[in-house]
Amino acid sequence: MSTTLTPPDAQDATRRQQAMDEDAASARRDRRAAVIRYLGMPVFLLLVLLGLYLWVTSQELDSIEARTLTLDSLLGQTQQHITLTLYSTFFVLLLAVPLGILATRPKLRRYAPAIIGLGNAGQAIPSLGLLALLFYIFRTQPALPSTGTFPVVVSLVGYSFLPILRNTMVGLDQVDRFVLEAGRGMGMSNRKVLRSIELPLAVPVVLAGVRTALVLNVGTAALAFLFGGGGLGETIFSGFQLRRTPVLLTGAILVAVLALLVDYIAGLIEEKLTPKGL
Amino acid sequence: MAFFTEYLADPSTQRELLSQTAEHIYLTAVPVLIAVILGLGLGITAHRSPQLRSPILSVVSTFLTIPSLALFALLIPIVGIGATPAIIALTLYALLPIVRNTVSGLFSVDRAVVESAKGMGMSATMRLWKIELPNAWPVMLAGVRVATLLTVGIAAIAALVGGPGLGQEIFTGIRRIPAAGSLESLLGGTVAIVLLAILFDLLYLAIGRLTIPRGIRE
Amino acid sequence: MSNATSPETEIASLGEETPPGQTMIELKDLTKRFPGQETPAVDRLNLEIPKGEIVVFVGPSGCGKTTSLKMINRIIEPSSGNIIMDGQDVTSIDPNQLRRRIGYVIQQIGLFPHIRVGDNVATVPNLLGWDRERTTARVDELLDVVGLPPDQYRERFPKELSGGQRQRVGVARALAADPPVLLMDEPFGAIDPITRTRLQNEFLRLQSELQKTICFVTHDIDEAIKMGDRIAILREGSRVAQFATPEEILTNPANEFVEDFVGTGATLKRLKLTRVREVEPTEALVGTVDEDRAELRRRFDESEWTAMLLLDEQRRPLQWLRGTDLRSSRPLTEVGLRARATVEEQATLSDALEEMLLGAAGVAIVVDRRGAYQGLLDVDDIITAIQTMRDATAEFYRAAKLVDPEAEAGA
Ligand SMILES: Nc1ncnc2c1ncn2[C@@H]1O[C@H](COP(=O)(O)OP(=O)(O)OP(=O)(O)O)[C@@H](O)[C@H]1O
Ligand SMILES: [Mg+2]
Repeated sequence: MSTTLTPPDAQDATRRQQAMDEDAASARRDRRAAVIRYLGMPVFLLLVLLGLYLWVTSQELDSIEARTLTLDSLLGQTQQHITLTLYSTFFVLLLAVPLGILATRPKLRRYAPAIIGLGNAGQAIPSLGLLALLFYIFRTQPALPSTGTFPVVVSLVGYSFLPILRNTMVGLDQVDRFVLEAGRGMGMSNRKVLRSIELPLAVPVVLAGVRTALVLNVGTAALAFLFGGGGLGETIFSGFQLRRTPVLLTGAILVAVLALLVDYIAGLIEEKLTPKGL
Repeated sequence: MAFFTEYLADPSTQRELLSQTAEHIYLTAVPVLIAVILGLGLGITAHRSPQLRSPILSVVSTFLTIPSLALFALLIPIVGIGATPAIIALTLYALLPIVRNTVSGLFSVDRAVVESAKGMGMSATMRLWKIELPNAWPVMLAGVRVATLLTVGIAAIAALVGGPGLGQEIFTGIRRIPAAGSLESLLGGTVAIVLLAILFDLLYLAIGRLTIPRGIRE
Repeated sequence: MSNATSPETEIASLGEETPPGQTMIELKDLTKRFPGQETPAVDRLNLEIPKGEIVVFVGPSGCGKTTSLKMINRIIEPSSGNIIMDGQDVTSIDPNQLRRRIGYVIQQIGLFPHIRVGDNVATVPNLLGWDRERTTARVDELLDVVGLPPDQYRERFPKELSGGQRQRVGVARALAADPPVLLMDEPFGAIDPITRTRLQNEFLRLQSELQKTICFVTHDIDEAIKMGDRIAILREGSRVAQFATPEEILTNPANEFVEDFVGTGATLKRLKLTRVREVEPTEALVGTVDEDRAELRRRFDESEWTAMLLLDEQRRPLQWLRGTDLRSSRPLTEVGLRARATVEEQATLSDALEEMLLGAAGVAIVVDRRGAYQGLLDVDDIITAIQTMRDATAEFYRAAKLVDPEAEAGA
């Protein structure tokens, strides 16, 4: 028989060696990955802020820029932004999570698909349009307050309500399907199942909801300035209108850093509070 | 509703809405197309390489965490005002659903199927194109659909920083709240975007019908 | 699609060098050590697989059967050791070329769900660059061979088939390019017992025509005995506890491990292995319907038999006749006892024993394919047969032990 052999498939041939190296390498990788995961983001954000500071201070700011980029106004806007985010997150969770739990109970189960479907359809509504329409209602109904934080928070809640409700329901639905039957099978009563199985398993679902709501709201709060709600969106927008790049960039970077920081902290909380082994 | 039909009957409104709809379609389709090409590559890489998987996924999901107004604004000093910053930003947003679904679609392919393809002597590239991607396709397509819905909605915000599209009509309305005519503009822009989203959805339904082999439907 | 060199010239001649019965696949110190595991999953496996035979790997769960099998087509890369196929070391040749010449069937079947049955079967021919007509003809031929009429099944999708039908397609797909070697990992493992028996029988019939070299993994000793020309009983780490024919393993287990693994009822299992034709039948006292009744009576009276077996014109058994029946005036076909308990020559001794126990006469009548009488078998014949087989194997092993005292340990 002829011995004309094609060269070995590189992938397959090197696999033996790889197999041996894999052990040591994966341990090293794990440690490095942990460091990057916990410290990577805050260090990165700090560096970005430092870079921004150095860059802005090295620029010769004209009078408009100097007036817009005061520490006071930036801190004020940041505080407004955070307030809006926290309020709207708090209220949307207060409404959507209990409703989600309720809607997945056996008695109301049959409405669940319809609600989830509505939540999916809600994705098609643009945030800008929905916020504006909600705010319009406040401005045009004399009975409702038309200025200040309140209408903006309600609009933010109105926007994030459907996604959070939907996520909660989908999460609980998954928990239920796998675990309920096992619990019932062991002879637990409905209430016992709820208390000792479903609620503990719902914790991660709720925590995931907190994170989603925070990230969603910190983003939409950047639009609050359009409705008199302030926030860091204001700096971005004036930077754009006045054609002042330092202002535009400062606003944009601060919003981005804030959002990433919120997501990072929410992620840490989610990780720490999620029961081990889930 | 009479006020709204009046608004829609105005020829200048019609002209505005039509051209803005065309811009909006452009602003959605181009980023999604680019994101499909990039996302496919990134998804396949993330599936192949356990080392690169979590870096790819976390970078791509970081994009989606950055608020859209901020990302649009960040790009303006680099690429100027107009459609370009919007297209770049929207591409970055569309990546996450596409990459994530490509990865999970590839993982959802029955391992026995891949192994028997290997056992029959298909090379890695052949397995990918002839076996893995066709079987992952329904999940991947769902990701593209989500990416499109996302893009349609976020594209509206581009108008705040000088971008094209139906966001302009909404923005016009916002600036006039609570004056007469503002509600019409808010509704006109928003409803047009929702209709556009529904049309895209129908398009994906049709694409699914045409491209998902009967053997793996449902 | 293919590399620059034509794939078919690479190892197409696999198996043409080796005459039947000679070693087709040789595993030399084959070892697999998975990363992060202290003991190797397969520890220096040495085995010679003869051409045209079914060699069954059997052993308890986790002993390394699958790993051993998958190293042969290098789905799992060996950590060390060599695989010699048809005299050629294939341990480091291009695995894709190798695999196109080795059929592969796994328990989960792994049909491609997105393409039709016909395209599934055509996979390897397409990889090898066959032209379309040849491929289509081959696909239809194979679907026929595995009992799925092509017109009915070619255009179906895998999800439109039953489990048994899927497994048939799996076998057809593995056979598509007529590979000389077939690897099968619990191919009938996930199928209900009745269908499994049918598929096993069909596969054995197929193999008697095809004469492939087959490695077959199972954890079911009964399946191993039924399917194997040779059985490798493996223990942890794929160490060979015994490598022998099913007969040898049943009559002469090499050690306690094999004995335990084969379990009780080894002798009964042994009976399933021996065919009736391999045992010398006893001659009975027979007469035919066209003989004169007086003549029959004379022969009966002269013999020491208590009954005579009456045959028809084609020498097929009809009745058992006693003296009183021969002397009665009624037609011979209406008296005596119907002759039941017939077994064909290719039936197993186990079948024969069952017939004996069911029939009243305590004997089984051996007939040929057309039903013509060949002789009688009784329980004594079966016991004698068992005795002889046991002695023969024992003799063989005693001889073997004199040469190599380690042979019994098998490792
Ligand atoms: N990919 C793998 N990585 C690590 N260990 C493995 C891998 N595959 C198999 N093993 C280990 O190797 C040993 C042998 O496994 P193998 O699958 O060959 O067993 P088997 O004899 O086929 O068992 P079964 O009858 O249950 O199929 C087992 O201990 C198993 O845990
Ligand atoms: Mg196995």
